[in-house]
Amino acid sequence: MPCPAPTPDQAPILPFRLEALTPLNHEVLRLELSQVAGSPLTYREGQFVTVRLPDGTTRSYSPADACRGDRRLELHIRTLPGGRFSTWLRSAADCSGAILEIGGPYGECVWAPPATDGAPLLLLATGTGIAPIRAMLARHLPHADLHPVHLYWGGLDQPDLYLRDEFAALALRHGHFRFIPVLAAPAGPWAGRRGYVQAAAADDLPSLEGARVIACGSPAMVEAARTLLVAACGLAPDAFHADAFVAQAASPAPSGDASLCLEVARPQAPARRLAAPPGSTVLNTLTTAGLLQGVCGGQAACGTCRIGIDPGWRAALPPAGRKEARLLAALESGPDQRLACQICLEAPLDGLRIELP
Amino acid sequence: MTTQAISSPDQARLEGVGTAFDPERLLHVRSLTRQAIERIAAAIQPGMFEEDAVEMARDLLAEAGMLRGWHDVYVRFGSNTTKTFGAPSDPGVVLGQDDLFFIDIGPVWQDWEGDGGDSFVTGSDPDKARCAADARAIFHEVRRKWLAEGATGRALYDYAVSCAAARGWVLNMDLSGHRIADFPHAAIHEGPLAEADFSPSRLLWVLEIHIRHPSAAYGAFFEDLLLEDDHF
Repeated sequence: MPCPAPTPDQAPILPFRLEALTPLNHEVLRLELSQVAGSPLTYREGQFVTVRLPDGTTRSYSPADACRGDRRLELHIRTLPGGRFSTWLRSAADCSGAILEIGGPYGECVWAPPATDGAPLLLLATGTGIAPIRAMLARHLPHADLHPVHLYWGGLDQPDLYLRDEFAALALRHGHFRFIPVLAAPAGPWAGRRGYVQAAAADDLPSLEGARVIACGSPAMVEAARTLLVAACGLAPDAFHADAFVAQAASPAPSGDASLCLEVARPQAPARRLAAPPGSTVLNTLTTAGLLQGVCGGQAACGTCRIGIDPGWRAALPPAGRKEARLLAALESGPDQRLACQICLEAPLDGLRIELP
Repeated sequence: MTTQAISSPDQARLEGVGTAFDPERLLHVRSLTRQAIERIAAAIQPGMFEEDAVEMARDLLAEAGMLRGWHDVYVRFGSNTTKTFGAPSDPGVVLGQDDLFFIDIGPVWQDWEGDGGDSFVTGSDPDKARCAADARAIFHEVRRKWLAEGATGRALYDYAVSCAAARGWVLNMDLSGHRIADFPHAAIHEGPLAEADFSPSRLLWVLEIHIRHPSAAYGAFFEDLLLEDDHF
């Protein structure tokens, strides 16, 4: 049982000191951290960790460099105006030298070359979804010359592709590696590809039989890529790899994801209105706000995240799956009670009203 | 490699319990947990899909009033027995005629947490039978060291590594013991027993032994509370 679990409730927590904070563009910061105690954190490139600030705010990010077991960690963090994490990070005078708690690693979206020599490996990223891709390439690219490796990195405009020169240089050094930057809305001159990464890749690689795809970035891109590449390019469905968490940490897709709103009523406390990225669960949103902590890691096993749903919203929710329904029944729940860990916030649930126990 | 020490002055804090703590109730939920594991194992047959076995396990736990768990229900078949806690199983694994499987459950009964695991074999493959038996045997070797010497958590797992190696297995140190108490589990210390530099108290810690074959794709798991001989 416990220790490394795929969600951030049960893994060992290790203290790291924030050593340096460097802007990479107008909204992305590079965090350089050093571990100050405990066995050196090890991870497989592509996995993610949780970062807990001194005020309890927790977020998930993928290390942006190969794991060297040297107690150092590099994270790329996209800041959001007014966000708690972002506000804390931007106040560099206060946070430099601060101790952050790092949990993990979690996730299974790691380097997965095709089974057949010569078949391509396609890497897709938007925004800071490039961080785990960068870590994978640092570890594996020099030894992966049995497969052509194609990286498509997308953003709205040129500043979003803050490591463009680094990947262009990497392509010059490794003949089996191609880097294709893609912009959805360049404001100035742009001679490169336009549109979305999945469309550009599908145009360039019309047959993906035998290929593997790793996608990191906005949930909109990940789902669009999965659908398009399987339907149009013959990609085997199980050859598409993505980590669901990335939805929380990555940049918004060029398709224009917006934050969703969650209205939270609380007994004997003021109501709260929370912002949530599409694709996050109600539990993640409540945990981030410090309002509710699950125990079982979002597995619909413990029931500690049972919440009330405003009756007017009941019909908007997808019905409970078998596992959730069985636990709700065992807990003798009413018709308006659900498990927060099982409700994924998407656009139709914008404004969802819930009540905490 | 240096590792973080949990020193003895921290013991009282790390062994804290909640308001519902009750040794007798904990022993009772332990008994229910062991019974549930045996019932689940008895219902598993070669030819079953692992996913169906997990659903069946949940049904049996629901019947026993223990559907709620502080962690998920794990039944692992065949090559999935090498996967560590929380890692998703490869889908569609069918239990073979000469195969190995394990069960890991953490049921909550009323206000108390149980936690237990055990491994079982089908058929007569001697290596797999030995693997399952060794997970249990290593558990007791380590437990007896705790009883005899009052060894620290760190020393117990150093010893577990050597016990596993002596029998030809590799020990998974990601599963290296943890606290147990009254529900909810989140209220208690979540660090591993293997990093405790004090001798753990009875009834408050579980000892986990997850071994795997050094090269073949199978392993075995055993888990129970640290208790005296007369509880086994």
